[in-house]
Amino acid sequence: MGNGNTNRAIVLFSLAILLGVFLLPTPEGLSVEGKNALGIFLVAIILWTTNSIPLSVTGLFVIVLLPLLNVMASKDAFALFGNKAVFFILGAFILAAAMMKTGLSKRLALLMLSRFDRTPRRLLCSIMLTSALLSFIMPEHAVAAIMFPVVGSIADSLELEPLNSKYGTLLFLSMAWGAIIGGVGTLLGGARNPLAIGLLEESAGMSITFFEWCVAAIPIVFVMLGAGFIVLNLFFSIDVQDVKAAKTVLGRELESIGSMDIVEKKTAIIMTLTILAWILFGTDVGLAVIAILAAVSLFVFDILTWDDVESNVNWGIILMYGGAIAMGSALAKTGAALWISNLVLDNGYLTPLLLLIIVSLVSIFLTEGISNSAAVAILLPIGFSIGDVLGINPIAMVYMIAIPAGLAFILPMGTPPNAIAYSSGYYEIKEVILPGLILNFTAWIVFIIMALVYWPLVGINIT
Amino acid sequence: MAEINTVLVAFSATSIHRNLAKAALDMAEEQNARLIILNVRDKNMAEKVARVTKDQGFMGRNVVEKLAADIKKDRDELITQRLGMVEEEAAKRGIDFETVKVKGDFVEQVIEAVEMYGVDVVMVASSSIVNDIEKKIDAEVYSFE
Repeated sequence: MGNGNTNRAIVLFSLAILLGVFLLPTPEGLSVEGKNALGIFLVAIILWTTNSIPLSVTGLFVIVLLPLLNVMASKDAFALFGNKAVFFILGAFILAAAMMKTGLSKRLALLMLSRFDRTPRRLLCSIMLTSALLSFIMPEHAVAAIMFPVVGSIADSLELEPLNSKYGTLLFLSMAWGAIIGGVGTLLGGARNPLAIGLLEESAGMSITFFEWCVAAIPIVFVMLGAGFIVLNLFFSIDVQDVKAAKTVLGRELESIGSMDIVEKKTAIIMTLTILAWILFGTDVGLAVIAILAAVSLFVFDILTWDDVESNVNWGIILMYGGAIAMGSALAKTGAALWISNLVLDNGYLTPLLLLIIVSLVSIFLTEGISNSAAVAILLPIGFSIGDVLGINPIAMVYMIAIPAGLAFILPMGTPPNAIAYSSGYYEIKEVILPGLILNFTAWIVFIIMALVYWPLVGINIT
Repeated sequence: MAEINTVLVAFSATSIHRNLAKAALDMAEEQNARLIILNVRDKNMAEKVARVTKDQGFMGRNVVEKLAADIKKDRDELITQRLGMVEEEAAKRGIDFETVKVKGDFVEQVIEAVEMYGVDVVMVASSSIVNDIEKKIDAEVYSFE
């Protein structure tokens, strides 16, 4: 976010664009509502990419612009705040809040980390794997925040010297990259994943279950973890001989949190039952219903208070995701998305394979500069329409955009896990640009190969 | 080379480069000069990370505040420990030294310290800021990346 004057200038610029689009004659093949929806879409793109106002406020702005410009009745626009995906995300954040409040997430992290053998490489592997596995059950940003002090105490115990210790860099990057990669594995790792499903439901009337997402994404996670680990070890050599001190510190930390109390046990049981319910009954009962039931049970069993929820959940999330879904819905229903896709296809040659290659590349690099949810909100509505013309399965399109949108490794301040790792002070920006770029390309290639080879094996066909 | 009475070595946040510290200590010892160890902290780092986590990660106030506190504590401990090592070495070599901790823009704080302490030579880690500093002061500026 820039300074106040720059931000105001950007907002004014976006409004000038909107006014320009509003006053322009309607192009052939596009309705007036469609043209206005495109104008609002441009405003959203400018504001989401520049962050000149908070992402959530842009979502709110979109919701009011839709009825103002006759794109959608206000009743319909505001109703999209109540989308199932928004409530699923809300429930998932409340569950994560309970795991953090009770200390269950930290215990899980310490338990997983304490299983490593006493070699420096295995410790790194264990940090990466722990971050990734925790990101299967809670937001990757929360995982990085939980892991940061733990990894910090490991670095301290090994007496690593910031900027002079490659192993220090390896420790924090393993934490960040593990959380980022793990965040694409389930619907809980990143809110962009349920957002993509919400957009799918609004645009194509189809859905993806919790289990289906896991089947499509988790194997990709493990292959990418391997790739990430190799890239890390190629760029940063291990410059410590022994990590026994880390084992001692982890043991001490585990000892200091004591044995599981009843509240933590109740949280673990609710979390386990919720995940099982999402897998077994998600289709019949609905993911959002289960998420909210789980959230309610946290109050019934005295695990959370409303104050805990208020201080652990950022309510802006509802506005951001509600606005993004409303935007996607407006683009689909007014035919604006189809008009853009025709424009793209009339002026270029595209095949389903080429689209997979281009869309995933754009997604993976767009997310470097903007929030990954904003990347999904911008790309997916257009992706559905182009895919529709080319005969691409909308479910495959969700994966083609949402999974790469979670994989940002280059810019240290680009995503929360990277920013948290960078704040450790162990490395400088210039040291991670090239490894991050290489991992971005590697992740892109791995993703394409998995989409072409693995997905058909589990019944996900691109066309 | 003109007489060197005061050498200033500037570190940012946790960036205590070993080579830079050694070069500054060597010069101060050789020239029998006073050594100013300047630590400029980016006062916004913890806040910047907290803001990214809040705005993009939609984490709640508690998580963000705890994270910011963890980052701040980590960096505070780190810098105290690292500066301590430079101070210890300076004392061992019998160098007259003073440690100055400030917050704010790195280049601005270096220029301010140069004027305040009458510095003859400035040593920094990054070559990219040498020109910015040199333009505004009379002292010589070296970088040790």
